[in-house]
Amino acid sequence: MGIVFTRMFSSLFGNKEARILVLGLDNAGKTTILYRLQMGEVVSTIPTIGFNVETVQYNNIKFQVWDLGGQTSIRPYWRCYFPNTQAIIYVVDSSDTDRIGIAKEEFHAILEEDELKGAIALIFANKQDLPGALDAAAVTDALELHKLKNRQWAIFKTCAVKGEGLFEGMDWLSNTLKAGGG
Amino acid sequence: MSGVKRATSAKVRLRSLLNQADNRTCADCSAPDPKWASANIGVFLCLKCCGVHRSLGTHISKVLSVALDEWSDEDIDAIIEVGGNSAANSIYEAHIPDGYTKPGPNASNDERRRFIMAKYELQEFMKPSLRIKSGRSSSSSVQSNISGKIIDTVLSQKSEGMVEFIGLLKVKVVNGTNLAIRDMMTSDPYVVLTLGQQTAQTTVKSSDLNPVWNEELMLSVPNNYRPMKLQVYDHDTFSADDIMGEAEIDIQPLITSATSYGDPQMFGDMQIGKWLKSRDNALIEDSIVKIVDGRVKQEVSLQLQNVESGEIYLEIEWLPLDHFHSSISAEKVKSLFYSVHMGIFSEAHVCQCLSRLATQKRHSLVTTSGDRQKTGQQFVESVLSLARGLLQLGLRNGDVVAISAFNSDWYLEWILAVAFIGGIVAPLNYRWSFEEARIAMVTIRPKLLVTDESCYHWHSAPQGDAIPSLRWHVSLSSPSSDVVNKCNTLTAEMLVEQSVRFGSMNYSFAPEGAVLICFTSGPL
Repeated sequence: MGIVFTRMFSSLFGNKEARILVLGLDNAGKTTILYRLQMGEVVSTIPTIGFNVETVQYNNIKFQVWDLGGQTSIRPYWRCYFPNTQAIIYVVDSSDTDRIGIAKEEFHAILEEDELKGAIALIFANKQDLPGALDAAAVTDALELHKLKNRQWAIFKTCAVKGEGLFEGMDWLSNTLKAGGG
Repeated sequence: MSGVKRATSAKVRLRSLLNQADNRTCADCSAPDPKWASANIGVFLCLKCCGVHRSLGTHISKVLSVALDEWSDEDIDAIIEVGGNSAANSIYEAHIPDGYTKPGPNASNDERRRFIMAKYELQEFMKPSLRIKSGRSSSSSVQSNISGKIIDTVLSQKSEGMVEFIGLLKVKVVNGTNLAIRDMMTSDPYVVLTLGQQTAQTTVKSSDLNPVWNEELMLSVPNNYRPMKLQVYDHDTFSADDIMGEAEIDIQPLITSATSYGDPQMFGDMQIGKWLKSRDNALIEDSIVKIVDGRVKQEVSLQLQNVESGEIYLEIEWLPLDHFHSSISAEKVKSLFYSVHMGIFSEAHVCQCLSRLATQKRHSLVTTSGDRQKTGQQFVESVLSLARGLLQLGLRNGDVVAISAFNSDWYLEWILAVAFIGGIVAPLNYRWSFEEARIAMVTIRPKLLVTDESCYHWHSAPQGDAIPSLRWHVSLSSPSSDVVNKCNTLTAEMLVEQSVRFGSMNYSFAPEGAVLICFTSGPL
């Protein structure tokens, strides 16, 4: 049993990269998070009308991180990238309370997809520095995370421009993947 | 139904607001053709300024794409109420200090950011009584942005890193026939499609050499797409799957013909393009691109390569990303432009037409216009000498020629001559005002403008810089020498007279076979 586990483990994370999708509504902060993780800097961003992909090394795991554009008409493209994905990072603008309902619907819709059945979900309640930002508990309620079944998930409050919360989330992600999630 | 109507009218309202003159440049840096907007502030923005607006937070600026986002009725009502860039700037820039220069289209990100924060977040240029303090105090917001260490140089690196989508391919894998045997007697086939870094695959059909899948796979298409790869594998439970052949699918004919037609819903069922069978591809027969029920589709039959046998049949549909092409309309023109691929309907179309006229109708009367009459031979000679004249003038394959004239034999000769040398004809309506024609021409960028007496009043206007692409202006008929001299215009006669006969002249197709740009008036 021990041997089997080790072999599975190394096949997943020996040389291979974990494939991560960063999803969320437009202007949630996905690209800023991607480059904050990759370069440790804040970049000025323009809307992503497509995708950015970067490799991020963290806790001995190589993550291939796909940041997909969030505009309404680009969201249907997300599913082209679902196969072989180990984890979703779902980014929410916690201060955009007008659209948190839409954020919830999009999130539950993608988790219903068969191809993401085994993917773990990390939620970033981003833009905590902005006035009126909902805290992690309020975002958990608004996204109805407690309704998730058969899914490993965690939520962290983040402020991507200050770098707060991101690495706590990545710790959870790498530990959960190493323990066999995803 | 009423919902659909409302959505349409909302979009139309938004587009007509965007077409207002003051909204044709970015409210903050004056860059042309803004495609983004702040719905709550009520301004239209370029991509770079939109990036800064987004970073301020939705409590200050709620940014939406005119093309890529769905707008709620409230958002549209809000932006219409503000009334556009001029109205918004008259508030947000009411007290802009004398000698203060706004950032221009090429301003650095830092300059842009400083100005946009001062204008909207700190409201420094507003009438003091109108200033509404946002949640944060101004000093802390500046500090938080400084501590964010925003670096400017990375933007350019990063935007190059971004891969842009242009649309989706919906590929229906219909069936396979006569597939190769990879197990004892049969195979367990499945199909894998690869485009760029994506793959998609069908289910496995066990023990079936003539499998029917009818499964739809979706692939996103980036702007720098390459051919799609199709592979068939035999599924093995205990060992690696065996390959059962492969084929490459060139998706360019589909995408270029669809793109040049624009909105397929404007057309009835018709053929719009073709991927030709050749020795270098896997096609079993020519693969036709057509519009069916307002959708762009292509059926593809493939002979699998690098394998003993097997064919695969696909149906591909192209779903373009609804990039907003700013309509060229002044309110009245409301024109939509698309090019017609005559070359695809019958190869060598212009030549067939001319050679039939020159042979079968050699001595019969083919055109009558007033007291001018021409036989087939005379007509074809006129066309060819005009074509020669155009070549000698310097007109080249792919150049656009705008033409506005009454219908006549001369008009017809021009259309055929331009098509013959691979130019693209853009007939303009002589009933348009010059301003309407100017908008059309700015969009299609003609090298040459041809007019007759219906539009002599256009002559002086395009001198100057009204239409930067224009190099020549030709008068179709022979106006008084006064007009010719005053307006610095060539005449068709001058072109033909100066054309020297040289060797055999071959026809040429414009890039992608386009020969005509039509403007149709009517509701968008």
